[in-house]
Order: sequence, then C-alpha cells, then structure tokens
Amino acid sequence: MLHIDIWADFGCPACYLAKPRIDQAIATSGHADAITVTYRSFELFPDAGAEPFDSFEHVLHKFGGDQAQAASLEEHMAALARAQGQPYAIHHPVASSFDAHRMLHLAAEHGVASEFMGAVQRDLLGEGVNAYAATYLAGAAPKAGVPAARATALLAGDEYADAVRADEKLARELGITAVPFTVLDGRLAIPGAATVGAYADAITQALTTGDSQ
Amino acid sequence: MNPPKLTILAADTDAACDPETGVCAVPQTPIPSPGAALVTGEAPPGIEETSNA
Repeated sequence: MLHIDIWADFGCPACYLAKPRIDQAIATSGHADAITVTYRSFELFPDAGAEPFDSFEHVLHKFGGDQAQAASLEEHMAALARAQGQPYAIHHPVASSFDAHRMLHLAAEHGVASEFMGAVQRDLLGEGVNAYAATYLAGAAPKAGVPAARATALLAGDEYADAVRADEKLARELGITAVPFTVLDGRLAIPGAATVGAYADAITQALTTGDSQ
Repeated sequence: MNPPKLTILAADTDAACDPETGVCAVPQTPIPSPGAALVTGEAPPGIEETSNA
C-alpha cells in the first residue's frame, strides 16, 4: 500500500495543474488499487474574508501595477492549463477558503474528496465561479457525492474546523510554505506542480523503497 | 510527536503557489518577494534534498 498526502488550496492554479497529473500518474502506475490519497488543507489567503476580490487585480498589485508582467504570468498559467485540457479564468474570485476546506474533509468522510476538489477547482479557476460562497458549496458538495443534509449542516456550524487547522499545523511543522506539496509514504516530497512523469517516478520510488515496497 | 523528516525529490515542476508572495509563480518568472525561492524547488530548512533521477 502507498499513501499520498497532497496539501493544496482550491484557488491555487498550480494545484489545479497538478491534480490531473497526479491522477494520471496513479491511474497508469499499475498499482492504483494499492494507492490512497488524502487532500490536506492549506489556505493560500488565510487572512481573506468572505467577500471575494479579483485574482488578477491581486497579482497586478503584487507586481507593482505592471500590467504586462502580471498578464504575462497569468497568460502563462492559462497556457499550461489549456495545454492539458483545462479551462482557466485569468479573472477568478479570491476569498476565504476555510469553509470549502471544511467541506473537503466532509467529502473525504464520504470518499469523494478528489471529486469535490476537482469540481471546485474547475468551477473556480476554470470558470471564475465564486466557489467560496456557502450557496455554491451547498450545491457542489452533493454533486460530488456528499449527502445534501450533511453539507447544509456543516455550513451552519464549525464541523471539521479543527481538522483544517490540524492540516495547516502539520504543514507548518513540515516546513511547507507553498502548494501543491505532495508527500508519498510520509517520506518523499514533491513541492510544486510536477510533470506526470515525475509523479510516476516518485510513485515507483515510494513503492520500491521503504516500508511500502 | 515530531513530524517526519522529508526527502525532497528533484522533480520537474512548472508552478507553485506561495502565500508569502501571494502569486502563483513559474520558473524564470521574476517575483517581487524573496519568499518565492521555494517555487524553484529549493528545500526548506531542515529538509534534505536529493535526486530521484
């Protein structure tokens, strides 16, 4: 058996790029039935509020108002996404992803974390939908396979808040400062969005060395 | 319990999102913050870096 932990955020374009690559590497490894994946919470904007702001305006601000540089970065990210068949909205909303991460843990309880992560990333980063809103999450979770009543109840309370914070605490302890961050068998790590081949090589290495061989 | 020691694999990567810089960077893209170092795969302090090639 091989377990893979992936720290990611919904509004993280690099995580959006990485997900289908990891999925493909697992599917073609010949050991898919022996590999389990846990998506772990990481908030890129932990201080963000519920009211969304525009991602491009944020990037533009970070580049000191240099429109060309900001556009170049975002166009490159869009090209990477489109090259692997994913839409990419250069203007997408950014807000607190805490509730979405709580919902991710509920999705994991029902065995559909990967489906939920993929759907939210696609709506948020591919289509520019405000996937942070409670109304969105209440609809997206059941589509992924979470019972609607459980999703509604989660949004009304603080269920899984401690689990989100625990994932983030573990990330800090491991020295994780950027996402995606993939850990195989608790010992081999790949920071950033790697190629399918790199994930495949890492899976092979994890399966043929250490305790998971 | 101490967190496990991770071995960073020297994999080909083309993007990472870093809350320190607030942007998702790609290699060769200048980032207006020293916090962007990790996007190139640089190992954080205390983490061993190795090649899986």
